[in-house]
Amino acid sequence: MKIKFFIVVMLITAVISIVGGWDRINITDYTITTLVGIDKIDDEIKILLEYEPGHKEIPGSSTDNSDNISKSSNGEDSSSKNSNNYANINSDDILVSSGNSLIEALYSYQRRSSDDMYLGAVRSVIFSDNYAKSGIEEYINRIKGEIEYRKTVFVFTTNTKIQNMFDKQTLKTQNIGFDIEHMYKKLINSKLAIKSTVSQVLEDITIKDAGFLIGNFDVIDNKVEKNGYTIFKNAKKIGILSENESKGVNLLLINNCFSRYMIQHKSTDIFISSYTDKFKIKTDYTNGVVTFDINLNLDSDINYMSQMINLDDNDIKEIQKKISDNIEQDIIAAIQTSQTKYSCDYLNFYKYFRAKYGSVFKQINWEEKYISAKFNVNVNSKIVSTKLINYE
Amino acid sequence: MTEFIKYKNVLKNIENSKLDIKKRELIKNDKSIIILYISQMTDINMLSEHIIKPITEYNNMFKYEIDSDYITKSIIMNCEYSLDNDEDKIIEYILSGMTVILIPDDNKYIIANLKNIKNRGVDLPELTFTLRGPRDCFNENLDVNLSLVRYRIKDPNLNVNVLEVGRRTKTRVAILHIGDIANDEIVKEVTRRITKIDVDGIVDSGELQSLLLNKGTDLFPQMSIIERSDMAASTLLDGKVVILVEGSALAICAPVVFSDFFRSCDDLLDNKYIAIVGKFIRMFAGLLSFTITALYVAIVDFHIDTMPAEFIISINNYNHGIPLSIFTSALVVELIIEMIREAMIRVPKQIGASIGVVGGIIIGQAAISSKLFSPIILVIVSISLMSSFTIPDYTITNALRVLKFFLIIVSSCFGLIGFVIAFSIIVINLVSNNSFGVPYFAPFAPFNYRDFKYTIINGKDTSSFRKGYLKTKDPKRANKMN
Repeated sequence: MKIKFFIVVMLITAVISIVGGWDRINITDYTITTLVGIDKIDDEIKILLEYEPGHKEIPGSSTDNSDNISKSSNGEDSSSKNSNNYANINSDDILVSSGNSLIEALYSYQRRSSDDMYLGAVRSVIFSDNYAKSGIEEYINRIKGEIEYRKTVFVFTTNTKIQNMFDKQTLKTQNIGFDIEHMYKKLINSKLAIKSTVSQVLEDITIKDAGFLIGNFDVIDNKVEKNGYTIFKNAKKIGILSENESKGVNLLLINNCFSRYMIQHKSTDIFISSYTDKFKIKTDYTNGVVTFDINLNLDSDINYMSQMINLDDNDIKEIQKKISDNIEQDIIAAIQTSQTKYSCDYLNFYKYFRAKYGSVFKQINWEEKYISAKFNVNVNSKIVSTKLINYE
Repeated sequence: MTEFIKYKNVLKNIENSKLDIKKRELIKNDKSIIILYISQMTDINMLSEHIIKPITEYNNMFKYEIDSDYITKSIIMNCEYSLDNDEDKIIEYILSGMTVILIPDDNKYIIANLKNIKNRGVDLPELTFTLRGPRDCFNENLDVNLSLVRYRIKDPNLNVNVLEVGRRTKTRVAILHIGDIANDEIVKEVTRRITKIDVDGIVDSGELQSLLLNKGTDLFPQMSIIERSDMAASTLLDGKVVILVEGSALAICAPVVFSDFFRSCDDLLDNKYIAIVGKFIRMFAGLLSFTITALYVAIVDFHIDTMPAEFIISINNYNHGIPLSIFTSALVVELIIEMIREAMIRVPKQIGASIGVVGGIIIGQAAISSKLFSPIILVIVSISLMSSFTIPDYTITNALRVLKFFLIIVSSCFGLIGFVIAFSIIVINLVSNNSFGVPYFAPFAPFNYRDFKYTIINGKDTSSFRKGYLKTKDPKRANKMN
């Protein structure tokens, strides 16, 4: 009996050793993608994929000059294609796949790929200006439906030609996907940028009356650089906020926001760091008018002065007033831009209103109400540390 | 000369046998006093000085008749002796190393202990090293081993029950416990199981241990080994039973629970916080030793999504060009490591280092250079191996080594689900097991806070109580803690 049992165990072990698991896929059969770029040129969707460095074989890396595949240099699309759908290698580990629609572009990739594309390691998805204007909802929904895609993936836009974003030689980097992710994560951790992930966009996209922001990256002087936010309404790009215009947005949308200001006081420039201490928004709905009372308390540090001067209590009070005014202006400017220029609540004020007046929110047209909403902004900045030592 | 009528048959048997029993005759009033012994097991000098010389001198000086009582009380100088009248036991005594003195016209004979069995002396430990603890180890001599324990515990309640095991070997087995501490039920159970053993012989405590197990199929050891006398003393003070076997340098102890295998004697000697960290490291390493390879196989083969992107890319890169699958690589490398481990144990120490070099550097380096295995799998298996070395008792390591292969195979078939199921089976087995009636997974299951605390913060200064699951007669170690 024992011998029989032993033989059976040995047979099972041998079989398992030879054939392995049933749904097992060797990790080396995957092509690990780290960055996805989506572009739209003349009604043609183009997908650019960056593979992890060191991957020995790029799917579709055939050297033949068939109708659908050809080589190009520096990311420029110079294919002599006879068909609308093609897959093209730009550099050692960048693949371009193209088609009349997103589905066709993906299908074009699938037909030529010997390996499975693994999307679980994608660090960022970048939408070109054209594609963002035509609407990103389709691709966001694809990410939602694709199990492999992590919902914490960052989504960005770019005004730069998207091929240039993928040009490693110009950007002098090993992996653009990781570089962009690390850069943006650092900004988030420093309280200098809002979250711009797929899960965030999926949440925002459901409110049709409101808009949302995602980060924007451009190539400036051969460097990838975060360059403001892109404004989306109904999942379509409607505008862009520069870094200067983003200051007030950050103060409204980032918890414990960090900001830097330069104040001129007497004969010197004073550089100040401010952290949000308390941030409270009260909303009221009376006679069909929405009112928001924004109370913002900040703690500020004087970092340094261009010329050292002694500061007394009156000076401190005066500086506090100047900082508060500056911050207040930034916030008011951000709100006014959203109300007048874009007529869109991308600053998420609807969340405060919906929380208090849930049933009303369902009945009203929030877009209209938001444009005519009144805002009372009250900012108090307190200098908690001067970091100044009198060496005399 | 008078014939030994009573012992006639015995003497005839001895003469006819090939037992190499020496016979020495001393003449007394035309009668022979016969001394029987095995020269290899007897201290000849003591025999000459303490037995033969006094009897001969007495014979030369006096002509009175003498009997066994008189000889033992007034003539011979040996301190350890006994009298017996069962002639069937004579050969048995001689074979056990005793010297038998037959007196003519006397119903009784004298059994003198003049044993001189070669032993190694008290050596340094080879299995259970300690930084601060004592280093006197047991050797193959039962008497020496008993003396080492007695030296540490002067308690009159230290009970030593010596039994004989083996129809042919007649191996002496000493069951030690402290009478007013140890649970009587456990002592009785140990004694019962040893008494029940009916084999031709045992030559080591390991053989005895295998005969004392609950079931033959149990993988986890239900008894632990003790190499050093201080550990034996400590174990006895805990309320456990220590078993010493003649001819074995390792004592065994019962009952044991799973957490005991992760206890080092240094825990009691070091700062308690360092001991806690050390214990956690050992427990974590023990867990890692048999799970890490299986987890690697399961995750990389089935669930790469669970890893951060950096890991995925790194693993992907290093596995390119490797002809073997992850599972096969893991299995083969584990087998190679096991072969090296076996080789290291068997070969003489002088060439052990060479095997380490060949195994570690040549095979490892060459395997990576030739792209036979990925460096990651070698790292994983090395971690598994190194983790297993942190466990103080190697007997539990052996069980974990076997389970490691079980987990790897199941994980390669069913991924993390298989791993979890297999791991659960192991835990269920642990929880449902017992060692001489004591739950094997105590104090975690059944949970007891006091015992749990004592298991984690293992120190005499931290708990004045003995472990509750042992149900000792005296549950308190000390009346008042500082």
